[in-house]
Amino acid sequence: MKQSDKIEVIVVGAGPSGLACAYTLAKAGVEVLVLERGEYPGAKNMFGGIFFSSIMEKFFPNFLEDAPWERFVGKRKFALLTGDSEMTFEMSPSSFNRSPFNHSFIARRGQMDQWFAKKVEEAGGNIIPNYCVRDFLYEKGKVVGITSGGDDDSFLADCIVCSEGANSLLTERAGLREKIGPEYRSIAVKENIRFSQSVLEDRFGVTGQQGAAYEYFGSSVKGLLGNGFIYTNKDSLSVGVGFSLSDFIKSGNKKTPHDILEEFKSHPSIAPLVRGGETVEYMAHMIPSDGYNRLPKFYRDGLLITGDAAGLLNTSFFHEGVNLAMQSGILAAETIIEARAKKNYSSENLSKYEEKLNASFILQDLKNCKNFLSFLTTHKAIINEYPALMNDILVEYFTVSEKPKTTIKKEIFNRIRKNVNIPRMASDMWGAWRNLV
Amino acid sequence: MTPETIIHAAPHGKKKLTLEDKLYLVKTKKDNISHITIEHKKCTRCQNKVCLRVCPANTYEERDGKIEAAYENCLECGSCKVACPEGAIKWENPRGGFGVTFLNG
Ligand SMILES: Cc1cc2nc3c(=O)[nH]c(=O)nc-3n(C[C@H](O)[C@H](O)[C@H](O)COP(=O)(O)OP(=O)(O)OC[C@H]3O[C@@H](n4cnc5c(N)ncnc54)[C@H](O)[C@@H]3O)c2cc1C
Repeated sequence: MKQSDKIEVIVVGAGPSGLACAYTLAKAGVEVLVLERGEYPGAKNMFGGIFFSSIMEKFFPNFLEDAPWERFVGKRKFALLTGDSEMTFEMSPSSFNRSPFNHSFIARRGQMDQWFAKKVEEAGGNIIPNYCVRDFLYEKGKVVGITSGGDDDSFLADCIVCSEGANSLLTERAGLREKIGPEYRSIAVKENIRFSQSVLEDRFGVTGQQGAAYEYFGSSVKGLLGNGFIYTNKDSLSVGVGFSLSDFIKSGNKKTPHDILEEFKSHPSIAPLVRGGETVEYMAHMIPSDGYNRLPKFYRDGLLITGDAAGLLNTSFFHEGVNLAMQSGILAAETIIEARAKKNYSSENLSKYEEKLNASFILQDLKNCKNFLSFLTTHKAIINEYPALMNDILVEYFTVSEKPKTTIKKEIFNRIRKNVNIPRMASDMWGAWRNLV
Repeated sequence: MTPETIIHAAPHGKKKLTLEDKLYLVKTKKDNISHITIEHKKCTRCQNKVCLRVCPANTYEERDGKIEAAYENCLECGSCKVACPEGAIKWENPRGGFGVTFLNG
């Protein structure tokens, strides 16, 4: 193992958080090296995905013209699935369909991360791909470098930023968190399904660069805590499911994630949307579900953690990850720039990072949805029973028959009385309003 | 003419891909050493063998009462390590540049 010269800052991982950190540092004239285990930035990465671009646009005002996004999200749909039915809320506001397109762009990570990485290099940052960091190097309890554990050079640095993402092996090893158990992560699988552009546009009712983002809740994933999604790329669909690992284990489900994806794809509402396409890729990734109450420690002497590795993901309906990851990377960089002025990277100086996270939208949003997952875990009726009941009621109400409407109304009322504990439902709904919205 | 139900129409004659077909589509640079090791002793305590169903790539198999990992199928999500109740799965990232490359992530 050779050791190269000391660098000012090393960033582990070239995802949105690591790259945003490196870009901010490079712009401020700090020497920064990003190490990425994939053959290029983005090679190992998978998301839904909507790239929420507001922060990226502050870096690059020409994001819209320059970045490799697939389609802007002009159309959003939120659907509740029951066994074989669907209830849907769809919106296509004019404001989403003109610049700045609600800062929401469907993208593929390989393309987007590489584009961003090039910007980091242009700003003076260095990136080494094909380099997997195996562990940190320590000196008297301070993190002072990294090693690949193999033949590659190891590197020493004044400060290290760990932006390794949801499979947070190094963060765990550095003692910044307890062992990651299934209650801290969801699993997601996704397929890329190719179509001719015209079939895709006709099927989803989009034109030009417009795209659609469909999210499926209710029992879309076999009653587990999670959801299904379809996003339109230029000439392909991203179709996937994600769900809580602890819920999956507890349910004693005999199905595999792949089975659950296949069942989602064959739901009567989904099958016609994916029919006839060619599956060209199948992928998997974890999603953090730490939530506000169980976040790891964000720093120690010589080390900061950002993005998914730090559990900084909005676990509610919004699914925002990349923008929180980027912002945390920026705040880590700002903390480092301040510590650098004092030539002191002790945990005391780096603790400013946590103050910055607390003051930013990141931890405020996480706090706002801190009970989201636990509430749904203990109130499964919201996922399964209530949507099914609502579906039955609507079906009954709209079913064509010679029955007088007053009789139908009475029957519906009786059905509700018989099937629902009204005070419990009222309390569930109030809880849903407080914890989910 | 009776309207047919669109819902159950067969997918346009295309063969439905199996998991094995899909894994075959994934771009992979195979290393000759496994990034997954299993402490078999710990498995003997395990009741539900969640590794056998949590893996999206069906990497794990029970052979003669022993859990084995076909590491070359691994999609590198890391769920198995997180889900294993006994901490029997030692999962490391493959060496730099080895393993999967997602083209449409
Ligand atoms: C199915 C799914 C759907 C999602 N949908 C959305 C969405 O629509 N919108 C949204 O905003 N967010 C979404 N997210 C979340 C979003 O992808 C993450 O929050 C975001 O990518 C986190 O960025 P990051 O930089 O922290 O980590 P990552 O993007 O995971 O980047 C980590 C990087 O570190 C590298 N790395 C890891 N370990 C090492 C090591 N030891 N040595 C060297 N390199 C290493 C990895 O290869 C990777 O490049 C989704 C996630 C999933 C899984």
